[in-house]
Amino acid sequence: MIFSGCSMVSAAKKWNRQYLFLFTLLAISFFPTIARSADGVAVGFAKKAVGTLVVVRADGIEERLSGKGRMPLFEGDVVRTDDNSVALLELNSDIQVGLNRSTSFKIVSRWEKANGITRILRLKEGMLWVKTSGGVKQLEVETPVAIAVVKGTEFIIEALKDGTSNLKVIEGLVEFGTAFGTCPIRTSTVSHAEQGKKCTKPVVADVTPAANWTAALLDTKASKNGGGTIAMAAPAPPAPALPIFWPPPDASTHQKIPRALLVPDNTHAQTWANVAARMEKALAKNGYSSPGYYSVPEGFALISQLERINPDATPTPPNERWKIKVDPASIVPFNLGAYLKALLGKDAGYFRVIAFVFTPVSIVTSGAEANIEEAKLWVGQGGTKLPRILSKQLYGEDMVATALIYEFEIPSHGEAARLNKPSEHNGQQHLKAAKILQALGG
Amino acid sequence: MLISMTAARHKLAIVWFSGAGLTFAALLIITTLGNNGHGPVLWDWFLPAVTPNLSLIVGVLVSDLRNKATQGESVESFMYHLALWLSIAYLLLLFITPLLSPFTNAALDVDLQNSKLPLSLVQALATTALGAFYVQRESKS
Repeated sequence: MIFSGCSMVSAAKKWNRQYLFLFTLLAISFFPTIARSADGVAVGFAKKAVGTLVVVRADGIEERLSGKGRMPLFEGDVVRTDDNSVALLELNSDIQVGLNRSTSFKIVSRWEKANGITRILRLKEGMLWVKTSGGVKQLEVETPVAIAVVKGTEFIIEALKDGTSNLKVIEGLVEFGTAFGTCPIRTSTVSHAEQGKKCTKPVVADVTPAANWTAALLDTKASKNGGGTIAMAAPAPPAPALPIFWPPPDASTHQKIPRALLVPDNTHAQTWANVAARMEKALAKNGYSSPGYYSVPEGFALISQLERINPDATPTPPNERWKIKVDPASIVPFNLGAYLKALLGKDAGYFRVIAFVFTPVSIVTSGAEANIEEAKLWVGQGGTKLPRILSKQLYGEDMVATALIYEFEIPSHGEAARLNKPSEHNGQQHLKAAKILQALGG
Repeated sequence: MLISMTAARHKLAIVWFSGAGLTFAALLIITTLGNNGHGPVLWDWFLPAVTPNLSLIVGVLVSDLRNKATQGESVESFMYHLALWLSIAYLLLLFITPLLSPFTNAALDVDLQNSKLPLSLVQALATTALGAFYVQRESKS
């Protein structure tokens, strides 16, 4: 019995040791969470994930969020989405951050005596949508080549696979900078940054379509229509923004268009749409149709279609004005004059494209020679009209309208076209011959 | 049938110089008055087409003038006539090729390029006939 009593005591001790071991194990397992909770330094929360949001903690532990929730985020966390997921975070209650598909960033911070803590999102790859409210925030987004300093705004920043970055500001002001300098990027403008260069001048563009993918996260009408599945959350194809015509290729000649011709009634504020409409009307009056719209820094460009012109810069008759090909000189009806004309190569063709550029920025051409094959496509590749956001922009006092004239010559049937630079006619002669100045009231 | 060697040689020289001269004049007009920029292409095409045969003819004429070997000599007329008509055909083709360009859809330089093969064929025949004619004379001497 004693033996058996001893054996019972021994068994009890053994059980106690096992409990102690289990308790210790549990305590160790929960230690990071307990410690974090004790710190109380959550920098924000993951609020929603369509698909799966993965948060990799500083100690390597991974946590996941699917659907709605309130997962705390801490400094040092790496947050990422896969190819089929988008997610929404909230930092400090008034900063919303959306992660598009295949996006990854790390949350870090910087402390300065003067400014306190600045939250930094170190974007490794993918696309972030950031919206702040309630004034200037201490927030920066870093990409491998650039940094965006938030000034109270809504923007989209993208770290591309080729190592470059794009910043699209939907509203407000963002300081976008690389190691070579910074540039303030304002509402409805886009800038690009790459290694070893300063960020590009902001180009006006319709940037709202770029944020279409956030609809699934923000409980907007678009997302409510869906079932919350990944398929429904897939970003709608963005409405194409205007292509960029900047810097323009070398022109044959150019001519400034007097402001009074474009804004005859200076007592009322004119929008870009008003000016574009006036220009389109003048072009239509002279036989041009469907100009192509392009984006240029702080303005827009409107390009006429390629037309055939006479050697004196007047348009050829309508039956051959829009024919891009130079046919051999006709020998029908056959006579000596027609034959000699055909033999001696009198079947040359002159062509012209006019690009009307409206911008306060000085135009410096790219140095690349314009090519007739590309010029043929300018109208087709441009927008058919100004996007709504651009059309509402005010045509400011500093806006300058410049007609860049590209004159091409095909010396003979079957020959390659060349840019006539400089043209034998100056810009004013071209515009007068095309009767565009006249149609504008000049 | 026999023919005077000197007369035959003179006729061939006249045919070749007239034919080449006419084509030369036509090309000169096209390159001077035309604005198609085809000058270099035209001359590149024309000069190799006539200079070898003209050089041969001039060389033989000069040689005969020095030696006076062929005076009063007669040869069979067949080879002469063959060389003469092939030369006329070739020179005629050479002359009309650029002048036919307005009737085609291609550019002049393309027409000239396309004509090279058939012209070379006729040129080879004419040159062979000329050569055979001179060989005939030499064998008789």
